Amino acid sequence: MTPRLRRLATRAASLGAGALALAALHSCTQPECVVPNYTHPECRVIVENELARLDAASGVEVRFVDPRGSDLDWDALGLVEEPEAGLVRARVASLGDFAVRLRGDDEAPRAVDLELTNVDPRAVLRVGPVDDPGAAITLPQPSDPLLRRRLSVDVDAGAEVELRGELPCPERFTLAFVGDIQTNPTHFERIIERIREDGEAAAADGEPLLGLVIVGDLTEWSNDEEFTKIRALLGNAPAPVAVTAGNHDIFRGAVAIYNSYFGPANYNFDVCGTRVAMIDSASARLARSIEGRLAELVGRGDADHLIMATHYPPHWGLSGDGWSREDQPQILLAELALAEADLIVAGHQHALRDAIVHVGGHDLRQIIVGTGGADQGLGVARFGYLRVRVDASAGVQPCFVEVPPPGWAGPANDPLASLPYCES
Amino acid sequence: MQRVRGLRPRAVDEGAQTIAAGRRARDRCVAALLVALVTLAPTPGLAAPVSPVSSDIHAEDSTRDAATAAADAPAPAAATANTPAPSTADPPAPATATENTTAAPPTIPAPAKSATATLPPSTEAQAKLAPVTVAPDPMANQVGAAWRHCVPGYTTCTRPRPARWLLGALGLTLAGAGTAYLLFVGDSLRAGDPGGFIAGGGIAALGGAVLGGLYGLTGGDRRGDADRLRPSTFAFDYTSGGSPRLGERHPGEIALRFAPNFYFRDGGGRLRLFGHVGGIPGRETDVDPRPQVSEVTPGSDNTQPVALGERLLSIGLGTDLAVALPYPLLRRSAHLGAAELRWRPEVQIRRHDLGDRVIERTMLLPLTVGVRWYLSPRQRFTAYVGPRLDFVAVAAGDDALDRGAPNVGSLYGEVWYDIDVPLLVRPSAPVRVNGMLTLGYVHSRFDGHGINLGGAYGFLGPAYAGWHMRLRRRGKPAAVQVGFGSWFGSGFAAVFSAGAVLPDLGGKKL
Repeated sequence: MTPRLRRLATRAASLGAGALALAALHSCTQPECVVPNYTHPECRVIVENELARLDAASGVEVRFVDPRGSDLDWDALGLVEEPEAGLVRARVASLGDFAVRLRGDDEAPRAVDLELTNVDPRAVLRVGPVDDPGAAITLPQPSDPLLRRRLSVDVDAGAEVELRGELPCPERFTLAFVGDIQTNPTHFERIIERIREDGEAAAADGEPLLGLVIVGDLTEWSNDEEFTKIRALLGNAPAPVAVTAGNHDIFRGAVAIYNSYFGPANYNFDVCGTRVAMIDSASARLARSIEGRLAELVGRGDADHLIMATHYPPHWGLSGDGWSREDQPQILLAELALAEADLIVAGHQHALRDAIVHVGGHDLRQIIVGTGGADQGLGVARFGYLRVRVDASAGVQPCFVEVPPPGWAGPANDPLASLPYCES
Repeated sequence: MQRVRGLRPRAVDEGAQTIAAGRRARDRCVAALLVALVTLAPTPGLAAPVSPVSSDIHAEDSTRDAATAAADAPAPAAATANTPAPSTADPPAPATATENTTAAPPTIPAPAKSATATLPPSTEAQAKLAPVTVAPDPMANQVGAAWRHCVPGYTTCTRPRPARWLLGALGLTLAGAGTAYLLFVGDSLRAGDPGGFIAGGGIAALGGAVLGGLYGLTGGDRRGDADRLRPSTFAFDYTSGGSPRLGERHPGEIALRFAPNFYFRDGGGRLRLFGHVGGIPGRETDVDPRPQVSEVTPGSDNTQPVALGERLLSIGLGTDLAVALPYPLLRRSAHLGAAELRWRPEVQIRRHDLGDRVIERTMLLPLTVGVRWYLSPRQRFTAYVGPRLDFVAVAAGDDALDRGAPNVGSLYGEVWYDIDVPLLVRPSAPVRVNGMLTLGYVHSRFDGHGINLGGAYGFLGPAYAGWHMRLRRRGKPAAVQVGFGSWFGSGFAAVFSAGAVLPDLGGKKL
């Protein structure tokens, strides 16, 4: 062996040994998110669950639980915060029914001033001990149509109290979907106003609007000012709002800014027989733990209909603007096919698109509705929202409402061939 | 009893065990770090841990133009006034070197018998045909001659420097155009798919041209070696998994690859069958980090239950047909290097076994076409692009997979830049060692992560950088090929590869 070859062999062996030693470094593994980076989806999974529970200054623990029942102590179905000592604010993330539990201090009875936000004014609230649901009392209905309730709850020492909100279900109802507000909350306000007008008309026709679903990109730069503005807007919406995060909402790695304003981004809820699954794809991928829970999160359960809402479209076709890894959206599509989902609603692309995605023998319908106000490029912008009419017998029927900016006498675009404009 | 947030009451009882387990983990961690530091410290040139993946050396080529074929001959080159001093790794410059290439073209002596003995039989035969006459460089005495100089030792001139500048300028222009297209045209006009590939491919072309230029400045614009790297006939690859968290298992992926070549008898083309079978060895697991599901298990460091367990089977099969174009292609060509056209139909299948269900993803690439540009005898730029069809099939329990109809997917593309680095090619060397540096960009996220820039997720695919070496004992028909590299996306994955190179089938190489 020549000296040159020997040197080569020595270096190669050294490199190999070094690589093996580096491989052994996996023993340095730590739990997830020890150093928080909230652009990482798994860190957001942790924080969205932690923010659904709070040890208040008074010693009372307040936490969201699944109104459908669950083995878990609490679920990421809302956001609990204490803006000032003694006042607990709980933002309900879901539409339809919800449940909050309060566990008293071990030493003495306590009273908690509770402010519930994002609650349908038609929802009936009941409060009672967890272990004796029959003893629950029904709270009086509010006189105003606000999405906010305030109450004071007395919790005995060591006792546990449940506050349930139950929404009376009509035979038919509507849901509104939109995404991608970003730099244009001004136009989004116009869309909200249109939703309010349409909702009042629909209620008169016996199809009340039960909620608005926003599929991410509420802000452009994830700033506090932007989130404050959009939360105030949504606080005055005509119906409760369910939200998931978009890529523009998670720019700040050191702060879980989206979750601290809106709570969870991965959750599901049933609204009058329709399951809506919200999936956090803001990082253009799923947290691996969410991937492992897809069957639970996007499963149909006992619901009659299933709608999945997420930011990145699971099938992006020829847009080239898709997920950061393709296995996850394809696995998500497969789970949705197994659950026979009725509709997939996504955003991210600032446009209106309607497509059929083939998954095995199933055909899934995917509508992209990134029309909440964000810049749409050189073409004529098509702003507006997707209205979904849900009828137990007729199923899920989507249509689009174009809300043109001031200056246009009417809709500036023609409807898509497969997606009609709604008859207002 | 005091409540511990995130843990069920049993967690408190097991606290002492948890502390002890944590100490054990820390000790293991420190030991591994020490071993890594000690082992890597004397290794020159390794500044950081190498990480990530592997596929085969996609971009390696196979066909060469007449000039490159001449370069494969072991004949010593004729040095010109413009040629940088050869390194010791190159064949020794002959005494017949000329100082002025405008003089009558010198004749390169036929290869010495001892030199041809180091090559495999097919190359030997080729070497006998190799003695050629060096063409005069018509621009040798003009301004900028050094910049436009021809690589010495070839019948037909190739000018690597202008070729690289052209590629770099094209790359920069395309990167800018693709980015502008994405940003300004917007979604309403369906911007996207070509923009991402044009931008990513442009950046890769620019990066390759810059790196190739740096290599050229160090004297790399010289004859290539006949035994340069191509994909191993058979190879075993290991790709590292992502960094696991506590309680997780990311064993990476393994793959057995094959890529035999068949050369057409007229020397005008080559057909390669390539493919692989592999997957995750065992089961990859990820934990559920939600605090309300944490639970202490005696004897374990980890309190988080497994959320996802996955087995993966990976299969790929395709053919790559390469046909050389005449060189120079045009009568007034500036001699910027030979080119060839390619067609590479391919299918890739990934089967994910998630326990109670199986999900199979298939990517069909029927019309992927490519072009290869030989910017210099040692440097090649290759690009592929084509449409893509996706099948997603799912089966729960014992149900059979139903593949159904395909969906039209995004554009598929690849861009590669290869730089040959002959390390030990002296005719007398007992082992011939050739290296190759490969840079690439794949416009697909079928496997793994794409590159994300800030919040701009999902536009680009991953990039690859790798170093591979071929070692061939003198006179042996088979060679060994090893290499390592890394895929870069939102994270990185190290690739280690080892394989065997057997003699090619069919006629003579291009």
